[in-house]
Amino acid sequence: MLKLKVLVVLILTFALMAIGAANAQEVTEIRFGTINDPAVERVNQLLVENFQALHPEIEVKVEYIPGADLVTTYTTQAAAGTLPDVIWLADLFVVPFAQGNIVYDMQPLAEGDTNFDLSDIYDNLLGLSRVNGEGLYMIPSSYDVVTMYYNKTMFETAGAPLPTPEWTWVDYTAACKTILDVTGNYCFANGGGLPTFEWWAWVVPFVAGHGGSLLAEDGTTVTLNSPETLAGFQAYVDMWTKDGIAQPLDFDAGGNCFVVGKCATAFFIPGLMSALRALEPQPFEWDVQVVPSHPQGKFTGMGTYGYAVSANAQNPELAWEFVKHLASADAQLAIASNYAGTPLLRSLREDPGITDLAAPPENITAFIENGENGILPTAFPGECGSLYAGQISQEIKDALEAAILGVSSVEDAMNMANENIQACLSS
Amino acid sequence: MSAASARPAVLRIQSDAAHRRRKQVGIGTVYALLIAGSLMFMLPLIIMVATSFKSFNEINSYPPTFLPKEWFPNNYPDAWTYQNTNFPRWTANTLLIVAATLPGVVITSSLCAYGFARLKFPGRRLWFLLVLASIMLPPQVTLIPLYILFFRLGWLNTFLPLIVPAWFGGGALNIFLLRQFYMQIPRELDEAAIIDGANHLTIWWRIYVPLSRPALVSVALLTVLGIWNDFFGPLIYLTSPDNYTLALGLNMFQGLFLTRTDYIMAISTLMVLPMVIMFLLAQRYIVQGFVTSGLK
Amino acid sequence: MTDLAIHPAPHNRKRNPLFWRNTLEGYLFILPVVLGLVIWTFGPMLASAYYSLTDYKIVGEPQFIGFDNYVELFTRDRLFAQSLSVTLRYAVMYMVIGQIVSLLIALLLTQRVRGLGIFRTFFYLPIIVPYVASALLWRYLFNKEYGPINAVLQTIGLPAINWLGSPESALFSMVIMSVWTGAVTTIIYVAGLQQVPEELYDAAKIDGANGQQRFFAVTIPMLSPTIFFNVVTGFIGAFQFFVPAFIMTEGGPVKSTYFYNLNLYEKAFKWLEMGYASAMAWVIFVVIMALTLLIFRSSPLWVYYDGETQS
Repeated sequence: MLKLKVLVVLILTFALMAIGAANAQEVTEIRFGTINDPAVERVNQLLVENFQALHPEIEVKVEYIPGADLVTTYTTQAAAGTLPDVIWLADLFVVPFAQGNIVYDMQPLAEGDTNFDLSDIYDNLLGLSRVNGEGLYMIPSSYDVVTMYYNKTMFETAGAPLPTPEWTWVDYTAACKTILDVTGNYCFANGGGLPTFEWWAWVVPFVAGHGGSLLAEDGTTVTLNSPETLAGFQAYVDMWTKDGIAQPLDFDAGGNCFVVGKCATAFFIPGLMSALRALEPQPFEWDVQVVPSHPQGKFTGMGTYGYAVSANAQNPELAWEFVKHLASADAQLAIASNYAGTPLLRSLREDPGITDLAAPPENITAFIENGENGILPTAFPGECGSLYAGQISQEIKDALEAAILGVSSVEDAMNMANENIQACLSS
Repeated sequence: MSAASARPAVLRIQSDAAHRRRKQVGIGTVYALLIAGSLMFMLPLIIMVATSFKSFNEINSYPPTFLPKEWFPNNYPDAWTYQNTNFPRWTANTLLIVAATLPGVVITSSLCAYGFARLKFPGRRLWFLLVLASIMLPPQVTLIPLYILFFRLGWLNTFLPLIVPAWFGGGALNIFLLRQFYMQIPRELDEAAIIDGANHLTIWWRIYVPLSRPALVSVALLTVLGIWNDFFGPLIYLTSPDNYTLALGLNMFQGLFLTRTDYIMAISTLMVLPMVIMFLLAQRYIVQGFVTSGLK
Repeated sequence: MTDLAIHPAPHNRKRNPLFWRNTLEGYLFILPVVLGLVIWTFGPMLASAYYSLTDYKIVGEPQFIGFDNYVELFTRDRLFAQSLSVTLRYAVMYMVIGQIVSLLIALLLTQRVRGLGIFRTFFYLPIIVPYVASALLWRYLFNKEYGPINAVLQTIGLPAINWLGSPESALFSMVIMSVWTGAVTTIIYVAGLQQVPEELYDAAKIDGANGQQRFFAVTIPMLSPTIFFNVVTGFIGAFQFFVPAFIMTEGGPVKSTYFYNLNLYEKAFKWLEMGYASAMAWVIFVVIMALTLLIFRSSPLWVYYDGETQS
């Protein structure tokens, strides 16, 4: 009898689950999912206003996605197919969402649109919107290349020389040691960003700057323990273990170490400007500078958010009309005027809308000059994850943490990570 | 409390358990412990309230301060009127969900608990185990199928996914808790009532509900608190800002580059106030219960 | 006759006309939860059981792969054993410390003194704080350099502790935080203590029992159903604990707070390996179920129900 009961239970459940399915309707509204941030709000308004001017008959419904736990919301909506027509997206979602057909490839739309010039957008940045250089799954919002912020007041108090475009990491370390000795403050903020998705944007440039790489050119051999790669990791880890100039992993400043004035520099994308400028009055003087050089030249990371057309969009052309305005001069200068980003269009490189913005930062064009130093995250083949998530990011992050905490040498830690990742890639 | 007169003296419940035992310890020691403990347990709240009165610059300075250097009450109006927020509406939404959920939880969990505690029928143990099993599987892996189920029902972006399931037993923990309390009530009582011709519904309502008041009030308190602070449920099911709850609305202060900790703390303080009042009132109610019985 | 209605003897239960009435009545009482399980719970549970046999990347359709996820879990995943061990150690520490502290606090909160309602509310405050605010508060409290806890320690001449920052103490800090915010357990103990008949203490007193004897002879047995509840649900909760670790330590340092369900959450929503996460979920389900059954089996030895004393 119990078995019968269980059976009835199951049948009822499935019957209920099968009830109702969304039926297609004529497009009368467009759903726009975004985040609530003062820095982005003006851009949201611009996109909506522009679209309403073109299509007054269509209602735009704005849905704000709470900033915390964005990933859970997004993946759940993606799984159920309930994502809005136009969605806010970040670089880390591009590849999984593109491969899962959650977002629409806008490349044909962009090419077919005479009012849109894809070639005006910086190439390296567009790489974050593509899968292995193919397709266009996100319009990025800003030329989001990691650049050096520095606390001018702290440098001057310590009597350290101010950063110049010619700086090497040796100059950087020397200045930071002076700051540490005089003020007791750290230099390299954010603990290397290990708990974040974007950790690679701090570390991988060190590897590239020493002539190393995470993956050999054959695309299958992991090279975490090649001499050049190890040298890069070692230089990075030395900031903690040898020189003590980096914010220790267990040092919680109660906020961003740079913003609260406990770390002399921060390597970050332009959006941090808006957070710094929210401090009223400004507690210290600060500015930005292009990143210092490694032995092999200047390298830095990138990371951006943007907007995409979701595969749910009932009318992708309509959604494209909405999204493409993000890459217009109008929207780009609005982002810049809120200090939420710097223009991603070559045509705006010397536009007064960016060059004449009130300080700080005095040297805002450093973001653009630094732009060409931005590199993409290494793309790994197969099912072992990426630098954002999965086993590969896990292994390298754990190895770095062990090396920074002194639990293990850089070489031992990377040998192990190399072995584990290689085993996964080969299986 | 109509059943009160009928129950034998040994059943006088709601007495002060440890009262006499502790008398020799001395009332001074009890107060000392209560005050020391209160200070310790109030600490997180004190920090929260203190932070809500700090300026944004003070919050973003090193080292952090314990009490505000300068009191800054403007955070409250500023937070309440922050861009794209609608706290009056979100308060109303939250209250609506509480009002629609609470009776369902208390009534149905109590009924089910009575069934499991007092009635013998085939399948009782199995169903009880299934009830418990439902909270043993990590909810992260049932989230997507459940979401799809509500999607198919057309309930997304409505309060229904947050309200309706509560009317189906009110949660495994509440059923289990009340079952434990009901099993503790001596059977002589319901057997006497059955001889008098009462049915189980009457016994439940006239004997078990009044006698388990401390437990029922606790269930109600924890239910209200749970809904008030529930973040993950609304996060997944409510998409349009018009339908947000307070706990979800708090997240509007977490931006891409900028988190308004000052505003989070201000709204949190406002959110905590009604809960503190509710706890105070409810505690008085429970305390009063055993004080009056002590007079008998 | 009445007695039979409640305890039908096994040999004549089918012949007893009251058997079917009792069965019907029983199911009517538990109907809400039966329907609830059928409608909201079993379907998603079955779905996750199916996912556990698939390669399901959330974005895209599940591909059936048999028991591969389970094989991978037990043979290749070093984080599986690691995170299970973190959770087990947490569960044991939390169960021992948490139950004792909560019970002691509940005893304190049932003393008959003036202003008890206010004191109780003070003790319950930590769970009233909204989720978003609490992460910030706890990180501040535990901070190595300027946290109030270390300030107190140093005032009384003890060394400061690197609570969340060191692999040795991070897990224990999580236990402290859980106990600190353990008001739910305390509230239930308070309700249980309210339910102990006063007359039993009087009787014990007349028999000459001292305070300690009364505690073990009256309070503990009469409270045992409540203890039973708190132990069972405490275990279930402890095995699924992860949110504070997720928002405060991200599982670090060196994976010392990498709880089983944090691992599961990351697999599901960061790695987008929902199939694998589902397999992890069913493994922990079996562990929790086995433990719960064990506690249930042991309950006749130590749980005393006043309502079952007649035979």
